[in-house]
Amino acid sequence: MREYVLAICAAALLCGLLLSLPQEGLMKELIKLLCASALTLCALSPLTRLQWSSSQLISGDWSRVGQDYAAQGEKEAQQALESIIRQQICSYIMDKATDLGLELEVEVELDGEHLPVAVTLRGAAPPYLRLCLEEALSQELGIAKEKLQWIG
Amino acid sequence: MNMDFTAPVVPEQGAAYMPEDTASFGSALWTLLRKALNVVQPELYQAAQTGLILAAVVLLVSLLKGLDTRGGRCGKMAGAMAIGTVLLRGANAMISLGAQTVEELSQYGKLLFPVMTAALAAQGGLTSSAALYTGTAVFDAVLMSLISRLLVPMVYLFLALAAANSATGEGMLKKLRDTVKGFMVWCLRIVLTVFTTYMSITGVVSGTTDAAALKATKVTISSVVPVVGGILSDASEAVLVGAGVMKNAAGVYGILAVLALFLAPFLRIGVHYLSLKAAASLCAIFDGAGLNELIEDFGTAMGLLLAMTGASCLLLLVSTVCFLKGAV
Repeated sequence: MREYVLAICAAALLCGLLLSLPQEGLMKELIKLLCASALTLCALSPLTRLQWSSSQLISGDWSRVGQDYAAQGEKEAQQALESIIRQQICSYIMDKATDLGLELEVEVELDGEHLPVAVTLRGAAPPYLRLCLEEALSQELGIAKEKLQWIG
Repeated sequence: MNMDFTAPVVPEQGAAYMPEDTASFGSALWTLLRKALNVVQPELYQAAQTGLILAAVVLLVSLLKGLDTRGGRCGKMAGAMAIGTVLLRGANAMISLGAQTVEELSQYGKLLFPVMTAALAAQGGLTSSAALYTGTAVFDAVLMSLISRLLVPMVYLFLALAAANSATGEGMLKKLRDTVKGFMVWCLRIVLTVFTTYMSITGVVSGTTDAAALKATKVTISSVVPVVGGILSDASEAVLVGAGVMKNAAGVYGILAVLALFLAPFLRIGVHYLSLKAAASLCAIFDGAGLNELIEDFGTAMGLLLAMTGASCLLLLVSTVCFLKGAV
């Protein structure tokens, strides 16, 4: 760039000197034309070295990259949603168990739409209270009785 | 909640201007502006010195013009050379500063927009976030390539043409110089116009798609077992609100970070621009050799740099606001 600017300035000085020489008529016009052409060529010379292509200008599959970032965000949101739902359903079941006088540990399994499909209950419970809790969970949470697993 | 959408930390160049508390946008912006204005004073002092030197050169050339038997051409050439020498160093530093600022802004945008895209998608704007990211990334790449590969070299071309035009004193290169300037302004205007149009249309079209998808999800949730439906609905609401809060915080921080990177260089170039314009006006009073046109051209080159850095910043700010506004 420095060389280019210096070249332009040098060419301009040369042209200025040529134009300052005392001439008249056709000669003056000819020198003026030559100087103008030389300066224009000198100024525009870097354009001949430019190599442009659309791939240089816009590289990368931006649309796919954007979809990937959006999918990543959605995945994080889904994980957060799943975690909250799991927590809330566990709390709900434990509240129900506490109402029946039971102390249980609860694990909930969710399906792809974050609906509870299976529950594992850990802790001791008399058969009658088990039946009561199973009935409540199946009616209120829509979990099939055979998907309720008791451990302990 | 195990979501994390945090804006990238502001780079070193802008860290000095970044306010510590970004919770309140208004006061943070004010703090940032106050910090950035500190750079103006030393620049003003330097600009005043340059202005005085220019005035002295122009005055000297005007006085010598009367002694020149060749109609003042030699004096004008010497004057153009002197002014070129005085201004080229400062102009070169400003051009480098402008190009570096554009590069830094682009690099920060490359870190910020994935976060904004993910946050908007988490908030339910899956289609609009991907579309906004695509538009932003493409236009940022185009503008960045355009500025670094074409417009910055063209600023030098503009200055060279202006110096040559002033030295020859025949006005031969005036039209070419004006064409170069016009082309640069046209390029920036076209890119920004197409970009804002794209962002406006994308926001409306994809926003409608996302709103429809979200409504369909809500209908599905309300149709499941009442207790589970209530839990799902509450949890979805919590996630959407959480993602929205994180997206807003990241967006506000991002805007402030972009301004922290942009404001100080913009003000520095702006001071040079105004001082050159003022010097040109001052020199025009006693300039008998037409040298104030060259000073004016250097000022115009600074104006073009302001336009470039301003365009890059505007692109990032508009994009960030589109992501913030993109809630469905």
